Amino acid sequence: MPRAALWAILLAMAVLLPFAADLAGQGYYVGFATRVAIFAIAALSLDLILGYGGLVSLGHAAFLGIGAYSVGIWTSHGVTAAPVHWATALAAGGLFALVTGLIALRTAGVAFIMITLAFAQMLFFLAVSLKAYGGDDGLTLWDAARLGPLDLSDDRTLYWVAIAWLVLFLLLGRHLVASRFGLVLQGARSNERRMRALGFDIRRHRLLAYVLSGMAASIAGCLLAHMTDFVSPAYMSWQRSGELVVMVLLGGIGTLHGAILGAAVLLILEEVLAGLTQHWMLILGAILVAMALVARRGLHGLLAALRGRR
Amino acid sequence: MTPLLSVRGLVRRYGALVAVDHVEFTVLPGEVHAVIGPNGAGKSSFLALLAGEARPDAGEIEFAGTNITRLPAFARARLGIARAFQITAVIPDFPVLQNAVLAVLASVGRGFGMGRAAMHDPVLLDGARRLLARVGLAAQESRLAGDLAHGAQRQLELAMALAGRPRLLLLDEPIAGTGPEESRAMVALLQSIRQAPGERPGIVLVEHDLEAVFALADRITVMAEGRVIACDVPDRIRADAAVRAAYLGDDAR
Repeated sequence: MPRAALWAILLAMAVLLPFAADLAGQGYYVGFATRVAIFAIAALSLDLILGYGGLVSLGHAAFLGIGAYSVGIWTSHGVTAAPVHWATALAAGGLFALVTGLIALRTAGVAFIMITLAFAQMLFFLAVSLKAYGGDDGLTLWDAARLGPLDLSDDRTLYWVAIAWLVLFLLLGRHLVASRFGLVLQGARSNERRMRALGFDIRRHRLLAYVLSGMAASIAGCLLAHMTDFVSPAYMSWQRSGELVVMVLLGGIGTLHGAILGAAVLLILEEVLAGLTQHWMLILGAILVAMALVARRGLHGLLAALRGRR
Repeated sequence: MTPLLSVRGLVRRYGALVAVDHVEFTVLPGEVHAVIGPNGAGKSSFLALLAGEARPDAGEIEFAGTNITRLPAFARARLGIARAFQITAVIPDFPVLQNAVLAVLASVGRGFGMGRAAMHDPVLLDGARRLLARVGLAAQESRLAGDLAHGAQRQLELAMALAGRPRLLLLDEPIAGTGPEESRAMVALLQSIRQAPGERPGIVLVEHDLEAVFALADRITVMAEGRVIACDVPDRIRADAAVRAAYLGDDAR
């Protein structure tokens, strides 16, 4: 099957999913699918710097928090226009990435992991100290966000909005990694010294990738707040950052759509296993270890290998 | 003739070790200036200082009338200083063609190029294919660079260094470690580079293969323990007693 047809079918299935859920009398799945789409955006954005830039960030959940608090703070002041929330999140997420990136990108490898983690923790404790916006307990959003005439508290509407953002970011991401910029980013992942000797100021490329990645993840944070009508520091816990890294690795690093696959599979696994036993984390851990051993290139690599064998 | 590159009183220390000790050095336009010396003489450290990968503790480096002592490596590359490393430095997980495209991009592209395709751009592709043809790698453009034979990787690296029509080439042992066939091909390639009309880059050649050095060099600088112990035309270097002593010490080990 040609690639374009495959993508068209997948997109049609994604768009029509709420109707299928209705027919099956399982409206709950729309909310679950929205959650998958949101985390897919976050994982996709992380894959840009992790997979293509070779920069392992353990602080990416900070951007989820920035997006969520952009929605939360505006809503608590009576501003419910989603475009205002989104614009704020893009600006704040981009600025946070710019400032922290300028510092973090002076390092690489383990030091980069530590610094991104540290910045995310700083933001976490900042949110805890924001007593006016719920502090530790978080902030419940009483008013639904609105996108023009659309009410984002409607499950289906929010689902379609999330899918639209996901498709937009996937298209932008694919364009970006195939561009000159993307080529330089990937070259620097592989051989920094050669890239500098060729005359590339690779720190600038990495910083820009980091900013773009942070902006996309901030939108995921907005959508998360729209969905849960609740904002709390827990959105940017370092465990959440780790979960995003696992999604990217599980799906297949440096492929973009692998990140979407990884987000979906991890969330489905969590859901299914949690329904089976309260010791589900043990089983999930075993599955992840097995994946790391047999499929170094993630599910994407596994699928590609199976296709090649046939 | 004004030198293309002139180095004055260059010093680099690593702890108590003085790796480069008050080195004076010049390269004239179109000249091949070889640097030889026993292991640990400071040749690679010296080259790293010229490329901007390490900062000198003292001294000045002037290139084409500009003081570049404080410039980082990427900025020196943009001024026209290209580099091939001792340990071959290509992008191993990119195909050969993509490596060459990257090198051409470095020479033509400014800005980020987020809106511009890379591997479908005829300007980049044509330039890249011309480069590969020049070093004889045209037939291997779709192989992964990391899968090439060692000698072919060296040729690819040299092609990448040539993409920006550099005014100065810094070559760190381009011949060492290659087989006799590959080594002859590399010497021929270097000859063709220095004779190419209109380009004639200055070349700093650090090399252990003395046969190649004597075949290529216009001048030879001999280093030992971080210091320059001789600098002259090849014939006089061959006869120099101090040089013999330095190499005899090396051979005796």
